Amino acid sequence: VEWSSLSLSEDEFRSFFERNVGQLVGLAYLWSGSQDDAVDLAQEALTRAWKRWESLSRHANPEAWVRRVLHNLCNDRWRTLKRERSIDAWKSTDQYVMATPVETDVASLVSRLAPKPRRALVLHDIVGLSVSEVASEMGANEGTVRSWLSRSRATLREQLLSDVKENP
Amino acid sequence: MKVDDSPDPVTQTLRDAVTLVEARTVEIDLERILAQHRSRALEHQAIRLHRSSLIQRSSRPAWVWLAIVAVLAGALVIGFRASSAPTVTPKQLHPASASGDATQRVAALFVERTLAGSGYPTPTSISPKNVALRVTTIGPNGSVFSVWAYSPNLENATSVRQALQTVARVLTELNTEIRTTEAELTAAMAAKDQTEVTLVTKARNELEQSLRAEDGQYETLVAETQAFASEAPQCWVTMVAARSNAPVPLAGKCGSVGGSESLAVTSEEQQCCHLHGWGTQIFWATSEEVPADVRHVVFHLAKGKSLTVPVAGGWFLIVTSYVVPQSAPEAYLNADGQIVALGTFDSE
Repeated sequence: VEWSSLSLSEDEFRSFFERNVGQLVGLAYLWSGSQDDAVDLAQEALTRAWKRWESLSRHANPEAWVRRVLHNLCNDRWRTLKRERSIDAWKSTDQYVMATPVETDVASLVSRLAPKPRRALVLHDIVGLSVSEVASEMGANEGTVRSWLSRSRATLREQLLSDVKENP
Repeated sequence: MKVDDSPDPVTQTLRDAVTLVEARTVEIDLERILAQHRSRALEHQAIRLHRSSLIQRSSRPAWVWLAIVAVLAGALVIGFRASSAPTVTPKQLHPASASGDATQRVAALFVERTLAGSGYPTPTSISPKNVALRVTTIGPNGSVFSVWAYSPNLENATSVRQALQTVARVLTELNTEIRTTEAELTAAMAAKDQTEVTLVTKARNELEQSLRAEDGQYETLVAETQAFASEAPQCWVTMVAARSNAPVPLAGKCGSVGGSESLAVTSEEQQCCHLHGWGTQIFWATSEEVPADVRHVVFHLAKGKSLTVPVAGGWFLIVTSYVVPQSAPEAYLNADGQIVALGTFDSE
């Protein structure tokens, strides 16, 4: 362990940041369904990456690590949102109502997909990973990933068409 | 045959959506991220150093104490790097023999200041042995200042309290010097001239003299602290500022130099201090600006033990000590120093 390596690490992290920040904000947007949250979540993921940069920089695929952290953060945010809205709904109506986002943009539709299909779709379509790479990153087999991609696309296509019909 | 290589409509829609938010990337402040965790990075380095030393000293228990005396003054503004000094490696921590020679008893102390954006402190010298104590402090002028003292072994070191008081005095003097020679230090940082060496030497000599003179009382407190450490994570160090001998909440923002999470958390609750635990290593929390009339800080240890640390010349002193667990709890304290929430901090 060399103390002088810290400044080197910082330079490396700056480079990592510049390479990935744009894409991470995009991923966070699709995974969270909110532009504001996307910025916060991407920043949090990058902050965690920096906090562990010493070990992460030696990681075989730090980009995959930070994407995984980001996805977990988005899931956490989504669960919190659902819980809060459920509580609000329960308070106002004395009934449990499963809340859903009020936004109807594309990211909101994506964020409603189940976590794994949603993650697979975004990794494949936005990050540009191949099916095998998605499978590797998610620890799933390729057949499952293909199934997730197919189902996600079908669901989204249906929702987008429905949205167009309702809001021509 | 015509090949349609246009993306799937859904894919294209997703890409268009992502494009919309790209402009918001500028809202993420890299410098802020880096600044928040510079101190944490130092902590990591210290712990790595300690872990390495433990590995090499396999005959010793895993909780052999790492003790460092550290002074941190404010938020990474002015400083210098003692980059001309030798870098520290675990190997250097463990020479082939330990004769107990006086020069090895407190083998080294180094003073560091950091400058935002200029990198990290580099020790000017390092003890060949385990560190026995760490004291952390912040100063009133917004600069970061670290003093690290290494002691060869716990048995031959002196009282923790005495060491704290000594360090407080040293730091107070250093603080005075910094205030009066800030321009010199800034120049020294660039030129690495003799000013830096003078300060380091002064601090080292003072601490060495004190530690050598106060043999004896240390062992009792070390034993207590080790007992405390062995019971972690059930035991906690908490702290309450005392103003005019009456417990009061620390004013302003509370935060931990050891970790930015605590800064983020506590900024939401102005009266809440946050101690960040790494096993028995407690990252300290304090206000960023110590009120002038705060005279001392009391650390309430487990089982009714406490440690009172003076605040002198605007310096706010904190003791931490640690072992190296895999993960550790964290505590959130209210203004009265009571634990209001517990969580788990994943150290790696």
